[in-house]
Amino acid sequence: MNSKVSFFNIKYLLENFKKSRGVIYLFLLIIPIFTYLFMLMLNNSLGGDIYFANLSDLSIPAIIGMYIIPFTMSVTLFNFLFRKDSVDFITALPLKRSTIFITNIIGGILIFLAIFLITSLLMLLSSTFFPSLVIPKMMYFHFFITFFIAYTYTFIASSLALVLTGSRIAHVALTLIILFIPGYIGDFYNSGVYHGTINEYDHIVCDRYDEECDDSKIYNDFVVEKSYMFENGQTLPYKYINVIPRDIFGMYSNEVTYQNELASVYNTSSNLRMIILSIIYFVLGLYAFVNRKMEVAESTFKSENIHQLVKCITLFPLALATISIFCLGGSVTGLIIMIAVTVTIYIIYDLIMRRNSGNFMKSLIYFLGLVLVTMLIYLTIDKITNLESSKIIEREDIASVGIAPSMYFDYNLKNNLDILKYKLEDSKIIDLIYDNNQRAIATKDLSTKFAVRFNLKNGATYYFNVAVTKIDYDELIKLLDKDQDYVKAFKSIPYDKVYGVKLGNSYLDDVKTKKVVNLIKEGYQNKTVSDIVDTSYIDYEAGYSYTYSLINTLYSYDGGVKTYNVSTMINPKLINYVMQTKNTLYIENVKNKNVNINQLSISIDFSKFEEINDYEEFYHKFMSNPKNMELVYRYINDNVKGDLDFSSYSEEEIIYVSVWVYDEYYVFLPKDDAYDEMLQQIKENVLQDSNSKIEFGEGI
Amino acid sequence: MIEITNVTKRFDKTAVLEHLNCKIEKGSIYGLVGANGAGKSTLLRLIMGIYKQDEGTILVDGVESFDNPLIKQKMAFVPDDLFFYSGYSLYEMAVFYQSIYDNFDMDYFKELCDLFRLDINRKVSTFSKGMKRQGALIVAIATKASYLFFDETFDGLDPVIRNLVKKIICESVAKDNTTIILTSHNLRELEDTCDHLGLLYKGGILFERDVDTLKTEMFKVQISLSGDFDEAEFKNLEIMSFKKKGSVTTLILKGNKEKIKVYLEKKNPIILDFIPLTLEEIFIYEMEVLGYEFESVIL
Repeated sequence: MNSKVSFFNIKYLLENFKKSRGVIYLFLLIIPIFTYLFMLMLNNSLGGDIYFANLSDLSIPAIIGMYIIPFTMSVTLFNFLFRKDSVDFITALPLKRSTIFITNIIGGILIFLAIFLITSLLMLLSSTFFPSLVIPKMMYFHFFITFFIAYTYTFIASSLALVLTGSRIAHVALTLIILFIPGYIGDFYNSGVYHGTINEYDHIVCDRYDEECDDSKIYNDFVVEKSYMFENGQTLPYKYINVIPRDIFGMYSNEVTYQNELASVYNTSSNLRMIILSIIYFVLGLYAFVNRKMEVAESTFKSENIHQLVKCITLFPLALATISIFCLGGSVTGLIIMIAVTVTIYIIYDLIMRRNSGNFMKSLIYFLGLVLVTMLIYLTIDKITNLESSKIIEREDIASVGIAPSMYFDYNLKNNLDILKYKLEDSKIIDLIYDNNQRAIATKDLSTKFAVRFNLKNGATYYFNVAVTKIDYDELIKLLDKDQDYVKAFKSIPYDKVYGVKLGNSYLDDVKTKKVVNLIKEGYQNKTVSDIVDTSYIDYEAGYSYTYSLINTLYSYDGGVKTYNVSTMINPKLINYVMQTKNTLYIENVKNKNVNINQLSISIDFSKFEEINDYEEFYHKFMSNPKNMELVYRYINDNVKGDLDFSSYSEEEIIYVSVWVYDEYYVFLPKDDAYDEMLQQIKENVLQDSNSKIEFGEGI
Repeated sequence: MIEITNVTKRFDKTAVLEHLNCKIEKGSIYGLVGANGAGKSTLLRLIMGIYKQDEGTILVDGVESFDNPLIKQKMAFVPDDLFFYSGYSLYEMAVFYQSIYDNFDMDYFKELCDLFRLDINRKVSTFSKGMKRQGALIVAIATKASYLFFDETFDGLDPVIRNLVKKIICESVAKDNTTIILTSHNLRELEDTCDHLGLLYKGGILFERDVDTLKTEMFKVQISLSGDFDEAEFKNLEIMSFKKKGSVTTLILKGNKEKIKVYLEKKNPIILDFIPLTLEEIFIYEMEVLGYEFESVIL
């Protein structure tokens, strides 16, 4: 029997697909094809270089499609609700209303399942034809799951909206409300509704690059402020557009600057939220459909009051932004414009939805209600966030802290900050951090910064950037090293999930990747937090340090791409291997390809020339004579070796040269006779310059 | 049987149907007549479960029809405003119905299409208005449903096709004991098809009768007697209307025709003619008894 009392009717579904086959075929093809094309374009743009793709690189067609395809699918499957003749036709059939609804929903979900199965499989197959793109296998699965869930969620939300109304325009408005209002309010609350933060800690902020800073004064490089982890469990459709309400409606967030490293855009909590909301919307939609008065086809809402309510909710974001500007004392012109826009849209809303101006008195009453409710909401949020920001964290409030040492502030060494989740309950550690957080201290020593998370007893978490005194820093590091679990967590890298390594700007092949990973593993063994932090220290004062080039970025995939930056200095064998690898890369890509010198830019560090008093003048003269560049280039090509054992040389006995040709390559060479000869020749060339006023000290 | 008890349906605050009661026997052809906006289409949609009544019950074969697919297997509806899937041919519509209705008879469908000379492979969108209605009727009849609901059935059909439709409807009733409910605002259209008629007025069934009984129990008599006479002369008869013009009197009588004939012949009339009444005339006189002006009810 076709029409048994079952929740799903395959024949009805097939007929529904059949009548919409054109649209369905388009959907089934468009995402896979455009995703493939994006991969092709990306691969071709790399010119043979390796690139570790992330999910965002592969997702652009899927992201754009997320705002179109689910919405269109819900209209396609439930289109009959918009016209009286089709409503009569469908609802007269011997099918339960719940069967019609559930069958259509399942139909939509099956389409999305097919879309993303096809796309993921196509991506997986095509990856063999795109050698430049390194994509871990789990990323395909992640792509499939995340977008399948997101499309399903958007589809069900749109279907719910459609079932609740009888006209297409009202459907659009209601869908936008369901998809975006909850996220908007959440963001609005988190943003604090005002500029900057209230900072109750008394300190003088002095930018370290500000020449007016008086060293004798106490200052702190880092604004000590409370930061919130910005809500990252938002639904995917909202996440991609939240910049619009944040920027346009002036929501200044107090988010931690490294929040994206603590939670990937594609995360489990976001997916779970979408699943839960999908279930809720499905249940609501089913109830609404079964009880829907089918006579509402071709009208917005059956009830005038509901129409007015939906109108108010649609305009709520605009109203909230207007009131924010008003309360923040924004420009009068801006305020007038916002008020005028809000009122105008309120009036023309009825003209668009219902083709008449509606009941004036009722509209006026609801408008006043909208203003009142929005004002109340704004003031409540403002009050709560002010209370939050002015709240002082007392020592006794703190249950534990999470600490990430200073290397995290160096862009090149920025690591994922999972270590902040590790809870340190040692009261001495907490005291040290808390005491430093309370005061401003003078520091130009970048090694004494910490990213800190306070975990309060009431479950709240707050993020701070804290600078500590040198003395406290040493003490803190000792305490951290005593906590073996912390040390273990600090050193923890999921080596088995590492699928690639980037060395400076170069991506390594599989063999080199394995070697580097093993050397890092070896290097980390028996190392303390202090050891690791010390080896990560970048001496900015020393000038352009070659250690920039010796940072290994390990790419792992664990619910998203996570990178771990490890200094080569952690293991002498690694230093040697990295130098050899860098030289090999130069040989393969520059020397063996006979690159024309005119395409090169060479940078050689003359600052170690003890003989030169005026380094800048010398460098200027060096650069102005093309013969010098030729000389260096020849020297490099003649002497660079991929298998030289650098372990017998000290740091002072190694020079490095940076060579730019479409990309940056580093070359490491020993200070040997050939080097001395090259140097001598350069000096002679510079001296031969008739305008040379370079002064040389002893030794020339 | 369809039993409608105390049904009320409101749109916004206006009651379109109010405390409506009606019984439609199995195997009958029931004509529902009323002015535009009387609620005929609404009543059909309530029975079909498209709308839900605000009060009262609607039972088809003893069960509620709203959201009941089992009983709706026995029901097919052809609305006034027809719908076909875009780009579908008549055959494709039939295939769709076949997938939904268990008893859909494809052979019978094809037979009817031949009879009506409709090309089943042609897209319905290219049909004329009348052809679309024919197509819709054919597909509905081919479902072999026990209850067929036709709203403004004959709208757009030419006289030849109308007769054909009437013939097929009657055959269906005779062969399969199908119950048919037709709506129209035109009594004359329903007269020779329906065996029961109901008049819908101001949300309720104003008048409901078996057509045969209506036609046989009421008739027009023209009589002329020698000498003067008035209505009292016929006091033993149930007189619906008495109109005397000159020496000829026109009576609308209710009762057994043979007995009345014998009675009147005893008066040695100069003229005695029994004239059958049209349905419209019957309704007019019945309404007058109820105190309604018929034109205001129907038009």
